[in-house]
Amino acid sequence: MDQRFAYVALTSLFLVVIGVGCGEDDTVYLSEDGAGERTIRFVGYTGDPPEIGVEPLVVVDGARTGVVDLEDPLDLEHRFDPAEGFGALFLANIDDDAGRCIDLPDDESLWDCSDADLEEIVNEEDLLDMARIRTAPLAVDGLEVVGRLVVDEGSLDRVRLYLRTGSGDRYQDFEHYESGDKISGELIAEGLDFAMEGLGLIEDREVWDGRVELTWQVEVEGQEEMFEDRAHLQQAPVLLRHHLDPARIVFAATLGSENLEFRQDLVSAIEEAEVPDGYQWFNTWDPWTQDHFENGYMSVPGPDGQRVIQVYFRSGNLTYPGGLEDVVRRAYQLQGRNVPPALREAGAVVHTELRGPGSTGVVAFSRDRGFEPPNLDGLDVDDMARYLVGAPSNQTYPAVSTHYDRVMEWDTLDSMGNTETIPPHVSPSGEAYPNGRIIRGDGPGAFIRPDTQLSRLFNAQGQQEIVWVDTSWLLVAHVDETISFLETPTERGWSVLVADPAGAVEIFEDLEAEGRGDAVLFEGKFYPDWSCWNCPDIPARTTVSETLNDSNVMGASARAIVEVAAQIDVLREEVGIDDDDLVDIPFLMDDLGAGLAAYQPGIVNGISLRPDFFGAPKPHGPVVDGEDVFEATVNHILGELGIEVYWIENWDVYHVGIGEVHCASNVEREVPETPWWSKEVSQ
Amino acid sequence: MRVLSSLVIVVVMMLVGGSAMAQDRTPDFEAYAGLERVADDLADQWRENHEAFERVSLLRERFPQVLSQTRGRYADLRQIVNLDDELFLPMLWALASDGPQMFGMDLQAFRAWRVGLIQGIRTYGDERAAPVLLRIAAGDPHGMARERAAAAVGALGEPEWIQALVEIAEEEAWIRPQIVTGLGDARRSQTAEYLLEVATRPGEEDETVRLAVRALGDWGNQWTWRTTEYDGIRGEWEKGRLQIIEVLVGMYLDSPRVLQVEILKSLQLNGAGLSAEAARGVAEREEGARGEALRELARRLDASPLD
Repeated sequence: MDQRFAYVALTSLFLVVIGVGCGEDDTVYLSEDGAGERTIRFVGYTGDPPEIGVEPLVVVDGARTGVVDLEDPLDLEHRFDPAEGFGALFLANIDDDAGRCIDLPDDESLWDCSDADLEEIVNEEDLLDMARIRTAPLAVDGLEVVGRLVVDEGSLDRVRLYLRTGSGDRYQDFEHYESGDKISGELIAEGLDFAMEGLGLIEDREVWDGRVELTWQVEVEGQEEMFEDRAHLQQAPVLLRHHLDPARIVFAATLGSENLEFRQDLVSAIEEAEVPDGYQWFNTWDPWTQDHFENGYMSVPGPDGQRVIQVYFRSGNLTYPGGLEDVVRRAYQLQGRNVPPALREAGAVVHTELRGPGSTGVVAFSRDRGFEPPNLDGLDVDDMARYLVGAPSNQTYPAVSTHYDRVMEWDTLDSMGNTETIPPHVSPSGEAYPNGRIIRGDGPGAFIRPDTQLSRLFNAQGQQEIVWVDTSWLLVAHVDETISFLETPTERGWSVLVADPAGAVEIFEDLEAEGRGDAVLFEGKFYPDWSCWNCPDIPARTTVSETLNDSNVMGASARAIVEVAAQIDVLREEVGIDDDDLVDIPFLMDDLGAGLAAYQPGIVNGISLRPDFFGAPKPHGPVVDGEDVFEATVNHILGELGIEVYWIENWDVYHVGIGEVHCASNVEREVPETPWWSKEVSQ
Repeated sequence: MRVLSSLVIVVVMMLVGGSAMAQDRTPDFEAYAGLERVADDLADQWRENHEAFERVSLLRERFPQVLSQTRGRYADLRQIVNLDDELFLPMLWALASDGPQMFGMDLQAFRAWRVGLIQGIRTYGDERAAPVLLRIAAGDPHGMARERAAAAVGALGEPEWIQALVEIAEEEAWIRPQIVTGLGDARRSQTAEYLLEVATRPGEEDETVRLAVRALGDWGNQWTWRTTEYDGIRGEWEKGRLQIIEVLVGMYLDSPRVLQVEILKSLQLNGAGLSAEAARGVAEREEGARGEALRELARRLDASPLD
């Protein structure tokens, strides 16, 4: 028989039955200090109402103050279904507080190492990464009681609990606690203190959305009833950074001394912008520091402000498709070589250089970028390997060719230069994105897109749903090549910097009309000739008129105009930008066969180091009256918005390697003072 | 036949050895498919200017390093080597002969190397490269190599080679998308006609149709045609683009969104003003929402930064 009982809490600790009612489920309703009803479930009760009941109470940081306070009405009120801006949060404890994830034997063992591997708390910092959960003391004198804290089934593998068993509140006082383990009445009487850690990021909301339900169960000996209370916690999302957050530190690669001029300019820019932590060089030969990783963060309320774990996503750039591993391995064997490690080597910096206390490196990828590999059962691996490298083979294997191309041809979309963040906005459909929104490049159809795993993970955070624009027409295919965002004193508060080849052509045509068709671009700039050790470099020098008559450059620039316009159409639709939000940045594009790329250094592809300070690639445009026309034009355009442009030399290595300042660097930004859960945006 | 020619290549490779460009043994260039017509020229250059072959060999050796410092998938040969006349034949030979071995590169670098060679060879506009490029277009395991080889052949602008590409495209559907894409660079009337036929062909794969529409945009790209490179055949463009605009505007209403986006781009490239005019013309014959959709298309074309 279903029964409903009304209780009045005389104290929060001990209850006396004063009334009985009938209900439709086994539920006991409690009146709580007159503040409204809350629910405890009364499981399996079928008999007469108990004369004595206990009120188990489990409390979390529902108020988001950084501490769990049994007396705080907000902690009590918001331990169930949280209202906007309330409800307890917890971190995925995937940093490396003890520094134990450094010296590992190979790349793959670096991928997943973190504090979450351990069933112990390693130090005080580790303890601070955990959410605290408290149960109220229960006056159980005279009663034999047993308690259990139970994690909901769907979260069992996602979180780990610790129970304070020592007398202090230090990390050594906590022991690993398995969900559902019995706890004796003696401990229950004093009230319990738990710590909880997330074991990994939310990867797919359809599998697990980060919400954890805890049930605090108390059984009283001699009674069949089990008294329960519940609390909910939500794992904090990982948020990517946008250009309105102030820069904290800038990363770039050393490349021996090949990029010395670039680094000198970059350091000057960093110093002039007063970036608080300056810069850090990575000792790697891969110049594209932007592409190795993307910086995000998780934060939760802490006793002294936000408790933060920096998250560095390593790019999932593959060296070969996992589904063709046998074929690829054989192909390499035919050449007397071993297959390379699965991932782009330089990305390991997220594990080896950036992971530590309060920070972590994450890799989220699939070996075939989410594509179904072909079934190769019964086929001749040797023959397929020969086919794949163009060696004599007995037959052709279109499925092998197609799969290899699908996985590897667009692997460049997984570079993090293709993952940027639109600043906070409200979409035309009224959806608010107070922490901004991720923007990534893909292409038409089903096969031109980044690895589905990381995209799914980004969307699973539930905060910065991805906006997709077509970048497949670019050789490198990264969104940073044509679009950037800067804080501006405009109504919206920020603007979109957009590649503007039409504007560049106009500049060139004006120069020609003024009789300056022989003005020189790229004066003193060269491409290296790699075909001999002592060859002279190849002069890049050309003129305004030659450029206007270059069918490659002109055709590519026209193509870029329509493609960028299509990207902007998406931003209009998804973000609600209008013409006033656009800042056109002129430079021409070139057709490199496999796609388009910036012909002149792509000025849009720079870095925001301060709201009024933009580090851009030096354009080496035609010089008129001692002034680079493109520098002057962009100085004027951005100057009107109160932004100073700092011109950074990046021709060698970077521009000739099809990238610019932004591609060459990676800016980590300050965690906003206003926590992500309190942010608001009005337009 | 393929196996036989492949075996010949292997034998030759064994004879030539890993350092394929050692001067003391002149390769049997004629044994390489596609090189028959230039075998004598190659042999002459091998004897008279062996240094050019060594330059290509060194470039190949250093290519993985170049690529590792290049953002994205491919390196542009124009920016890593001085493409002077003496390199044409050695590069062509390298492209024809490199298939069976990767010369110490990893697979990605090797594929990028071959695409780089194709692009490098294309800059010479030398018809002698066509047989080698056609073989790649017709059957290379690497889609981008097929596409760029087709584009390089198409860019020669010779009707007979363009016809050969059309035949390859029609032979096997799985390689048609790359050939169709490459044909966007073959700026002759016959190409526009073929691409229009593919774009409107009932039952054609959606992606191939989209690529044909895209290639029509490349074909009719007004800023490409306005350079002096196409002075001699500009009449073909004037006629071809009108045809393209008419067909694409006609396709617009009944196309899925992804194709409409592509059509809008191609119309702008062929001429936004003319396209807007055509869209308004068709809109007059359409009623209700269909007419309004075309007028909206015309408004978007009016706002194009091109024209």
